[in-house]
Amino acid sequence: MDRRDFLKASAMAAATAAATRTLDEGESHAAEGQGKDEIRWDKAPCRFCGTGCHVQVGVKGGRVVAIAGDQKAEVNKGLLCVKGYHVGLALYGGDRLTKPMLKKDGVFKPISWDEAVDIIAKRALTNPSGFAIYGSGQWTIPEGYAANKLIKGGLASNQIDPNARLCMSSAVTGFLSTYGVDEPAGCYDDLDRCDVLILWGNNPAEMHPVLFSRIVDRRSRGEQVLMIDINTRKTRTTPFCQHSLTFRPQSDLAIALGIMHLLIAAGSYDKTFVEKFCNFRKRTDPPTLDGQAMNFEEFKQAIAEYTPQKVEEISGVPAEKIRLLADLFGRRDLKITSLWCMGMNQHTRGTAINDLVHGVHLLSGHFGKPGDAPTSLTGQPSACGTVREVGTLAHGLPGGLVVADEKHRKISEEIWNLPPGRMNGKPGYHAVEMWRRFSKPKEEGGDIDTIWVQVTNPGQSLPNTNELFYPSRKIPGKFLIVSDVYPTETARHADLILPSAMWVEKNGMVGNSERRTQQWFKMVNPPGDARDDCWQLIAVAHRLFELGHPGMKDKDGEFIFSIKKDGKEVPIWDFKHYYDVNVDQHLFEEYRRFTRYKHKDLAPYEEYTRARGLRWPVVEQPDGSWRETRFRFARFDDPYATKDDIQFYHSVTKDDRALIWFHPYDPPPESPDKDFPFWLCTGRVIEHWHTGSMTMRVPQLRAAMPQAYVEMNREDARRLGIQNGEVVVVESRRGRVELPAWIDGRGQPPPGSIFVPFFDETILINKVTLDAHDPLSKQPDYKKCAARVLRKASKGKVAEGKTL
Amino acid sequence: MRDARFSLGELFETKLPVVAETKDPEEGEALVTFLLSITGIVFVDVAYVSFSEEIPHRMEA
Repeated sequence: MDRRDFLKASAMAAATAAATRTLDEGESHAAEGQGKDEIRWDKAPCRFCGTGCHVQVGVKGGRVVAIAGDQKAEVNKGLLCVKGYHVGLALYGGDRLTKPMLKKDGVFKPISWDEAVDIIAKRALTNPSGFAIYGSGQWTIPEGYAANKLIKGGLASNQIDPNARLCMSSAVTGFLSTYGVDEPAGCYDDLDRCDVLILWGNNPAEMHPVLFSRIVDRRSRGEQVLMIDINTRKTRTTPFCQHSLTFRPQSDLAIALGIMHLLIAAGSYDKTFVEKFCNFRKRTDPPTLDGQAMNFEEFKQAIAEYTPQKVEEISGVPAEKIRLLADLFGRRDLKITSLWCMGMNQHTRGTAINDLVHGVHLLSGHFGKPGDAPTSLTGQPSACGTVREVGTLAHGLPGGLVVADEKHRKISEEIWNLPPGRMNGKPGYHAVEMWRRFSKPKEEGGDIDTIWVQVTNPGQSLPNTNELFYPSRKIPGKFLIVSDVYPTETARHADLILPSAMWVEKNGMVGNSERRTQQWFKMVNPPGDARDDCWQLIAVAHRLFELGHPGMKDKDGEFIFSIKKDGKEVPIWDFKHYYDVNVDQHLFEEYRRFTRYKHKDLAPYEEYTRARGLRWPVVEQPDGSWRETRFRFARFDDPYATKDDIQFYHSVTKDDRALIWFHPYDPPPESPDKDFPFWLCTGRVIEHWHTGSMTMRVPQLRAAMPQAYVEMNREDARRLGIQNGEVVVVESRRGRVELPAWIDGRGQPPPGSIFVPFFDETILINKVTLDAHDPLSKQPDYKKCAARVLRKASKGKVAEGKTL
Repeated sequence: MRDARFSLGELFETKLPVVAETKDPEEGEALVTFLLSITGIVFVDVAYVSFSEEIPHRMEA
């Protein structure tokens, strides 16, 4: 067999496996344990997005040699996307980081782990309030928990924030302000039961392809699913939708308000549901999560101006399409699920649009029944598990608690066995503020002098990097530490690089978009001297303990991460002994104690070793088994909803009711003008995950999508004389990049709009984006800013002064 | 009529494994679009991609 035939046979085997596994509910081909071919198979969630697909990982000779979809996994039922099938190769890029390296005179020199840990600990000891950790929705749950405990329980500075601030914090504030507690009430089961699926600025065909396939597969079985794509550009999702509503950026608020206006005007809102389960709120100035109470009549008056005609003027969406949406929501015989992700969250009015979409569902009573749900999706594998549930945002504590609440600090101090009053009630800086202060000299307010980055790549993913990332690199005294697996844009600009283990090179737990907590065991060793991120945090904490930092001792004088076995301390800070015990299990069992207060109960660690994840709250049954919850707040499924069919038991208004908000439409902070006439939107592509640091090292994925591009409308390109593939300049008031134009490409922006993906480290589009952010969630808006497209002159120079 | 670009696998209820060779990624995108235009085809899941350095072909399934 030659190579060509071999590749064809491999492709056919993969396609056949995908086809059979999504149909066959029986035993997996890749049963766990040792196979006849000496490959050992075990389960793990995929490393990439927030869907939470499970894979079967095949290991032979200390290497991952095969990946298969996990047939036992409810999320993906054996199917994977093109990234998932290649996830194993992400471990084996040729330039893995294998040694700690310190930059001396502009050159990285290898140093020992002891030296590296000592350097970090002394930075924290010297100026604890200026020492920050910038973490990740790709941290495992134990990693994020350890980092949170180090910063909030140990250094008591609260200077920790994750990259998930950039991807889903508006969803958090939307859930909190509406229901009083974070995360979706529904789950992926809604996708199997809905009659109508509304995609609010969401492109699941590329971003959550397995979920999208799950929906479309219903059609192949003859089921009717009406899909409506509310978008700012046509994507791969659009052709599968019966309706495509393209709106002007920012005007999604007007669309939601228009639906609510028509529901009330026509009397088709769900009066019984609203009267039993809802209160009304409007925003205050400055805005807060509690807002100001209003009654139904006041709400009705407030939204009266959002007639279909007015909404059409604001949004560009025809009035009859607004009526179509309102008519659907007005029907009781349909089940409607809304999905959203970055389109609604990366928005300077992110909290407001989240609130309004929840409000549409509450007002119409499309809530709390399978198929009737407003559901946000996350982009990272543990944005929910590690960021929202472990509470690694600057204001948060594990289990939905917050640092500003004295009772919550007291609970935390008790669980962590800290002296009363140790913890700090002032939240740390959110991500944009943290990096802004790192980018300024101390005398100008730059009070963050050290940032330790783990499992993320802010040099490529922060907005407006010319202001938020690069300036610190020229300011004396600023020190950037990066723990990563590959040399990224961030690592290249670091002062100290720590080589990390990734995915199945370590134990792990994550939490996906539907409240599902997942677990895996270490299967292979990391290369060289690469070590677990969690170990790195504990090693630094222990070095601080040795140096006498009082925060590293609990109230009995013990190390705050102390683990004992048979009554004897296990020196987990010494990597030789890190796996003498299951550190993940110890951290998780401690973390579990936090999860009862907001009814986010988790099961014991051992339960997750057997399951393909469990959706919280997971509650022990009389027979000792553990039962997950699919539909929160609904009495038929949620054990904590006991008073009525629906009970919002963490209600902001303490009366078991959710809040329907009025937020008016406001124009965006930056709009196209004479000098910068295009809307610029950024995002992802199916082949690559986030900044591409892993997927660009998978040859198949890199070859499939090797370079970023700017999607342009054909009409704009023709007017500007731009040819398909021509290298052009995309420029804003903040920065510029050069990249090829793609006309009539995968996505199709309307005239006046362009799109650039951010996976390509050679084309750093976040030099161009805007760092304006939502006032409550502090999440920046990557989806709209003003930009221009310049043609390059034939010899590589930009056509002087020519604004195209 | 068989299309020479495709190799077909065994039909499993509603799912048909297909392998296709294309000369570059753009042709691959066009091929998926073509498949979706065929009556009765609801969706195409990409399960595997490989590139050959020895032959200028790309495979999709």
